[in-house]
Amino acid sequence: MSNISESIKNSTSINLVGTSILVLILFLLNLVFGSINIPFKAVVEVFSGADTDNIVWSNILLRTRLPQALVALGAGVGLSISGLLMQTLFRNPLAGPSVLGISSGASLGVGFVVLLAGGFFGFSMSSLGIIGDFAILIAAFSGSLGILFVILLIAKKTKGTLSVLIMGVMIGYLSSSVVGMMKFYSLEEDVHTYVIWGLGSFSRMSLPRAQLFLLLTIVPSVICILLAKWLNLLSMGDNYARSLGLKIERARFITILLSGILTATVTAFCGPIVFIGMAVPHMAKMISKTSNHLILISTTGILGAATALLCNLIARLPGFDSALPINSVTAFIGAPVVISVILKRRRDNLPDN
Amino acid sequence: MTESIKLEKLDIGYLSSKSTKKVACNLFANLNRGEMTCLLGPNGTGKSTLIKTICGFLKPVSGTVSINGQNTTQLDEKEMAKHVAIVLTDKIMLPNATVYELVMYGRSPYTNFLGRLSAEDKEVINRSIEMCGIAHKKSALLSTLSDGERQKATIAKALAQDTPIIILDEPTAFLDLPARVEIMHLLRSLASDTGKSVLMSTHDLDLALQMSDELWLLQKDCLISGTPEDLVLQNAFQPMFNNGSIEFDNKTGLFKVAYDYNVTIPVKGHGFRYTLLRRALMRKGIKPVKAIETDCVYIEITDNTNNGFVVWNKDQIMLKTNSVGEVIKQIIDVTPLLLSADNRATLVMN
Repeated sequence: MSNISESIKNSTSINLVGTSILVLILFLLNLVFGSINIPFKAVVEVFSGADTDNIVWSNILLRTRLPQALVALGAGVGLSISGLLMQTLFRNPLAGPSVLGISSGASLGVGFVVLLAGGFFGFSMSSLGIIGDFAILIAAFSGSLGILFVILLIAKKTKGTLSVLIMGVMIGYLSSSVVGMMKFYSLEEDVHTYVIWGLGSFSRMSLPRAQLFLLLTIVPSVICILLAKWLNLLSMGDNYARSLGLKIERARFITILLSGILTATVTAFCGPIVFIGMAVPHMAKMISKTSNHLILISTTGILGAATALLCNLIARLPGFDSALPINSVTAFIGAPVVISVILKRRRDNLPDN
Repeated sequence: MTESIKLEKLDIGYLSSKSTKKVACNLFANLNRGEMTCLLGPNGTGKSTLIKTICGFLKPVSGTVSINGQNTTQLDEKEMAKHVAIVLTDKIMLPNATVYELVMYGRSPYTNFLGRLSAEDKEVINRSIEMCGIAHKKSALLSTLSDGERQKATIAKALAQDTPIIILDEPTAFLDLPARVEIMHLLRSLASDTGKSVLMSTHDLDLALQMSDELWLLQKDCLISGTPEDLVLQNAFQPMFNNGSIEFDNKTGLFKVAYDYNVTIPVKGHGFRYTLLRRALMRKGIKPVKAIETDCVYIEITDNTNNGFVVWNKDQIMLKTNSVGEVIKQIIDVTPLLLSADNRATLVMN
């Protein structure tokens, strides 16, 4: 009988190794492919530290493609794990990183800075360049952390998990209505800046900032692995979880906190990225065929990196003059995944939960 | 100390900041080790509320619940998890989970932060699965199990928790009769073999009377406990069924459906055929009475294997059959009857 658990273990490690190799390949492809054709040999030369004759190539690789790939990697890992946490906490397959209203909070923060500043100070945010970028980053961070704080307060006050979900969705609606009002009264170029921010992008960061971003997303993601046991219990339902010794309120608080930090970070740096956080956990569940979050979280993280890198690659496929907005690509890949998961459930006669 | 749970002057209900809704009050009871106890009570008397209170999900309105000598309000989740394992009515929705994984989660109170299983944990898990008789479904997905198998897997999960007490909220609901009996047998043998206390709420009065060591009868303002037989002797069940549609059968010591009757018919004979005929007649509102010499219309039960039932009228055979259904039909439809509750059957022939 121990063969069974052995073979499960084996297939799990095969999955993890396989997806990790996939991430590596996609990462390399992200460096190699782009609107400008750089030979593979030159790519190896630049990264092995050897001097290259072509400064332009090395600039493109180090200043554009590498940071972009790093950001895609971090955002993919962070959003997917954040989404998995939400799906487990709310026991809802449609939950994702945005259900708590945290990305709406970021939009609200950015809306205040980008849309209102023009009206108040008489100059457009978009004319400020680097300082403007930084202001947007700070605004998005404070907006999302503010909403996270409110959600955590609600989670502490209320007993049910469902009410937290409803509050999150409602806060999302509230902030988009406020953003709508601000848009109405703001300058046209500011609205344009806001819309561009809202499309999401992996290409806004310099290399040092991309490295910082990677650190900020990977560290909380790794900490999430420590929640695996709690998440396993939470997914059985509150009463069963409590009867197995889980302090529900504490587990719920920390799960929301970590998921919120991940979403806030990614949204602040990249803008709201849709669908990756919702679709990737489904892919991970389909591949790993387990309910154990120790395996699910790792698989989700690795698959998230692969998906984000793939989306980034598609967005910059050779042949396009400029990159497509990343959100249109993620939705294009994410929506069919979610649809196929739902259809497969129907076919297998599984409950929708 | 033989009791593992002790209820003292317990009031149960729902506390909120504004008002308190009491469901039942003044409950005293003991749960014994190594025994299976069934909690019975009509719908709405608070069986689930009592179970939630004992498990610590609800605070007692007043009074105390002690588990192994400790007041539950002083035990935190972790300590409770080592005293009490539960099986609830909520269906466990774990997509992609196998039976083994579900039972594995039952070991959570003993595993480390990452949920790593020791050799001992694995042994307990395998033993629990085997004791519940689902070893062949060990690596099956939960979603592919039948209701009975799923319930056994949930019980195996509770067993893996290795607690002196297991509490189950209606574990036999949604199951067919053989599966119910199987689950009750399983719980009984768990109690007697492992010395655990098993408390389960149920609506299966018959099974509870036959299989449980002790009964708890929950009523609005008291909880009567004792062996099923003692409770029968005390006539303790009467308040539960005061609408009269159920009566206690002194012969079998079980409950049966009570029918009103307004006619009687004499029957001659006895045995298994009589029991069946009686049940069919009672369902139609006709009560069989013992036939006497002067009866002219009566049903005779014979030893003949081809024609077990004979309907007589004034020494004439009206019907010879082996089917209860035909006898009933003859009595009710074919032959016009003038029967009354006071007189013996009178048949008026046209």
